[in-house]
Amino acid sequence: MALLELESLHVRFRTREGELEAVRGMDLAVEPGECVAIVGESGSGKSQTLLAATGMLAANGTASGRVAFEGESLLGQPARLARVRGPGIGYVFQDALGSLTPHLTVGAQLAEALAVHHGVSAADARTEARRMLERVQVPDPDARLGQYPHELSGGTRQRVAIAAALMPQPRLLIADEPTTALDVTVQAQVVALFRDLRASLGMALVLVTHDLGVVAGLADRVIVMYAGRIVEEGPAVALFASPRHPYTAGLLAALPRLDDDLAAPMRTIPGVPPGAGRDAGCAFRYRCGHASGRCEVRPDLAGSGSSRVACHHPRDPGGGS
Amino acid sequence: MASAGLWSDAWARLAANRAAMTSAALLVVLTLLALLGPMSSPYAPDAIDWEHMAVPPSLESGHWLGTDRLGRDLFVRTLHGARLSLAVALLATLVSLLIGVTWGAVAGFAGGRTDALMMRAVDVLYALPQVFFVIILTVLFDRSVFLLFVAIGAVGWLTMARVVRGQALALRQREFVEAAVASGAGPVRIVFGHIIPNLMGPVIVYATLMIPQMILVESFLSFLGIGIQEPLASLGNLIADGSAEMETAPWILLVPASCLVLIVFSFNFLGDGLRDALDPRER
Amino acid sequence: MLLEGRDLAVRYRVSGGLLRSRWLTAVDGASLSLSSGGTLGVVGESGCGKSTLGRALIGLAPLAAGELRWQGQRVDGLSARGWRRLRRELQIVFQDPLGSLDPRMTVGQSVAEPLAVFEPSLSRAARRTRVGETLERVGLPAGAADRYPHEFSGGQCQRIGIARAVILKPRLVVCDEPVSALDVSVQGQVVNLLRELRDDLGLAYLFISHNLAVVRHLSTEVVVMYLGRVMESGPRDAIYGRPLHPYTRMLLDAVPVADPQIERHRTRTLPSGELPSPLSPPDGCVFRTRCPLAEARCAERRPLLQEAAPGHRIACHRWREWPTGLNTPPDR
Ligand SMILES: Nc1ncnc2c1ncn2[C@@H]1O[C@H](COP(=O)(O)OP(=O)(O)OP(=O)(O)O)[C@@H](O)[C@H]1O
Ligand code: SF4
Ligand code: SF4
Ligand SMILES: [Mg+2]
Repeated sequence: MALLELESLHVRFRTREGELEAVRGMDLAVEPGECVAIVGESGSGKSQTLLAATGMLAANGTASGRVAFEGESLLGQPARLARVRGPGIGYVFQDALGSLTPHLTVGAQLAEALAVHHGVSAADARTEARRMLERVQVPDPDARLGQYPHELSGGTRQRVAIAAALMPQPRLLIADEPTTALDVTVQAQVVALFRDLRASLGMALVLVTHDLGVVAGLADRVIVMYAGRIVEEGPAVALFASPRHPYTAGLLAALPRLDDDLAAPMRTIPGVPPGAGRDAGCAFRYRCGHASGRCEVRPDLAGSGSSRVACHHPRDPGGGS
Repeated sequence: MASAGLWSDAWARLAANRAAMTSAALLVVLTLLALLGPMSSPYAPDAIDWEHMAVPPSLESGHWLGTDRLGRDLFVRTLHGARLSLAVALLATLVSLLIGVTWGAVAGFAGGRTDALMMRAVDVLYALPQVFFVIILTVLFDRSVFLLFVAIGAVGWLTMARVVRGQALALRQREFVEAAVASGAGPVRIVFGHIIPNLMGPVIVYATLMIPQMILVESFLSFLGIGIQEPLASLGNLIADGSAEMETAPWILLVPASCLVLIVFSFNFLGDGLRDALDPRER
Repeated sequence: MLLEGRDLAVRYRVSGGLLRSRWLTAVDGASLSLSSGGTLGVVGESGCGKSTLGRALIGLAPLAAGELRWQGQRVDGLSARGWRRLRRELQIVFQDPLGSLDPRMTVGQSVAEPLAVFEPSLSRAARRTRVGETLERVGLPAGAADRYPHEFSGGQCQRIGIARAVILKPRLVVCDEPVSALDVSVQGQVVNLLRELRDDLGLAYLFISHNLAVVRHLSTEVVVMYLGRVMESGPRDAIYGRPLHPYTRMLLDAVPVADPQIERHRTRTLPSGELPSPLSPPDGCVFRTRCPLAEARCAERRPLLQEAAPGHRIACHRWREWPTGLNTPPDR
């Protein structure tokens, strides 16, 4: 049984300008122990998908569809959600400072995460907190226990946030842009930390990011979103080697690399990212080099096995971009 | 300003806000009534009708909102009171606006030590009990309507100064202001071209929300007997009058009190509507 | 030389209300030069002083020390008014595309602002034409002039910011993280536009970014900064091809490669520990607390920038001991 399952998940927001559909039918299954990365432009619905799944949407948002964790339906079940959050699903945000309680010391913060769900004694919780800080390679853990979040550097803060999420030993960790606010060197350390934690703790990881480099270092499976829908999904190695959706191919080509050919201009995807409007056809067709008349009708996500693509003219699987 | 597009956006949003528009309409009607209404009535505000003393609202007596203990027409007196209360509140708000915006803007733009000193002064004044301050002023100087709104305004500007200073400080750090500096714009152009237009939204909102506060302060002072005095009518002294007769002739209290409630709520709804319409975060 | 700076320093007064104050040295002893039509890339991690340096070079941050020359003329110590006269030739593009445009001005008014300041005699119609031409030059319709910034996407707002920066045909444009806030799919559009404009208008750029791959695309020279100090500087190909400073090497090594096959089996050498507070930087070499090569003398003496090859300068006592081409440092 899949650990986390989403079925035709929709997320809608009531706004001044009318209703906005941020997620337009997501299907996703996360197996125990695997790492799934969700990538896409800003506004493509990556974060809202997971916030909806864990019942953390903003007040003007509603989710519909099906969300199940270990077979139990979660949508509209606040009591069950409260039980699952923490020991079932841990969450790490981009803004580590925002997700830590400002007036609690690091030690108190970590101990609390444990006490709430496991009824562990204070002394034991503290020992465990110290061990966890060591586990996420926070320098000088003893000193950190007494410090407040704002006294920490960005990288350490993110490690503490990860430690807090890991305290109740979740079976699934959701990390939303966990490295975006960090410098490259720190980012590389945090990616290495995630890889290491996964190997030792065996938890599943859902990683939301727009950084394909981070994805390459961590993900088993990649899901590419565009305008609120999945446009392609597949095993990381295959998807990076031979993307099938023109958007995926464009995104990979547009990624600046240290060995880019400098004589040529940088590769880009023409046009602008889509707005929130409703659209009958393929949302990518205004920017797509392969669009045809057929693309006025929205393609379904189809495919065999673990690879699926939503495109009328997918690229040749053998051919690369 | 040429930024008509944004203002018209805000206007469209305000127009769509039913509570705010109803309030605005009510306020317009009330103001017109307060200005012109008394003329339509055969009674003067201080005329005593010996035949109808303390009569409840009725059409027969010709006093359709009733009269007070001295037989004065409550409709006319309430409108007169509303006129005076509104005038005092508007003038006091204007005074607050002038001092507050200047003080706050200068502190915000100057920053550093000037800012620290100017705002420390505001803090000290803030710490004084405001009503007490007004009482001292009215005791020191002669009692007059003019002095009353100067006194109220002189206290009200503190909040305005804080609001404006906060806004100016935040604006000064916004990249578009730095971009203007980088484009070669001098301080005058930056202040009038960039800072002030971006400040207008919150200032309008606060001014709108300040008017009902001012009305309440005026009413409170008049109620205590240190504001506007008989035979002049303000909502405050009308309510003070009425509260003495609350059990025997409740309408003498209810008529001016409902008028006050109506005005205060309308301004608050309008202010909230303006805040929503002008809030830059929603863009 | 278009722009030349020697031993530049910028200090900020931090904390301390009315009486006490502490100083933060955001840039310390930075030297650099930029020739007409060239692009100097500035890289380094957050808080290393990149933006401060860029602003100081065009008079938007006050210099505490050093010598700065613009076309041979000393400009350090210039008054605000003196700088204002130079702004015709010195412009800047900011990181936050929307935030750098006045929300209450139309796009046309924002783009026209430098014109309004420097060519006030221009007629309305002439100004409008110039704005329209410039908008078209950056890939936007001339009709965009009558709309408001919030109606545009991030990439389009950045084009508007670029239009404002180039409308006077300046000689130097400081680009402070101009693509960092943009989606990967449009970053390249902006980089390519900047490159075209440089070639067409003969602009020089100071291109600030934490993204080393993007900097590589535009720069002719590169400066690597750490904690307010220049660690290494030199021609682009030298910095990327033969990095000499331990910090530069680790920075380059940290950049992820978008290939799972490589990325998963890669071991990196990364700076250990944490970034020290800029309020109390280590003495000697500022990088020593995180450098795998650090030894006693690194704490005693501050390494000076020395020339390792023509134009390639580096501030490290031990750079010779770390063989080039290798990405793993020798044993401590
Ligand atoms: N106005 C200011 N007052 C006090 N300190 C400041 C101010 N501006 C910048 N600093 C400090 O100066 C140092 C250098 O800042 P700067 O913005 O130049 O860094 P940066 O390299 O551009 O970083 P980033 O990549 O985060 O933009 C930092 O420690 C920063 O906190
Ligand atoms: S469906 Fe058509 S427009 Fe959409 S990605 Fe495929 S080819 Fe392009
Ligand atoms: S001087 Fe010493 S500490 Fe600094 S970079 Fe070189 S080896 Fe490392
Ligand atoms: Mg910066």
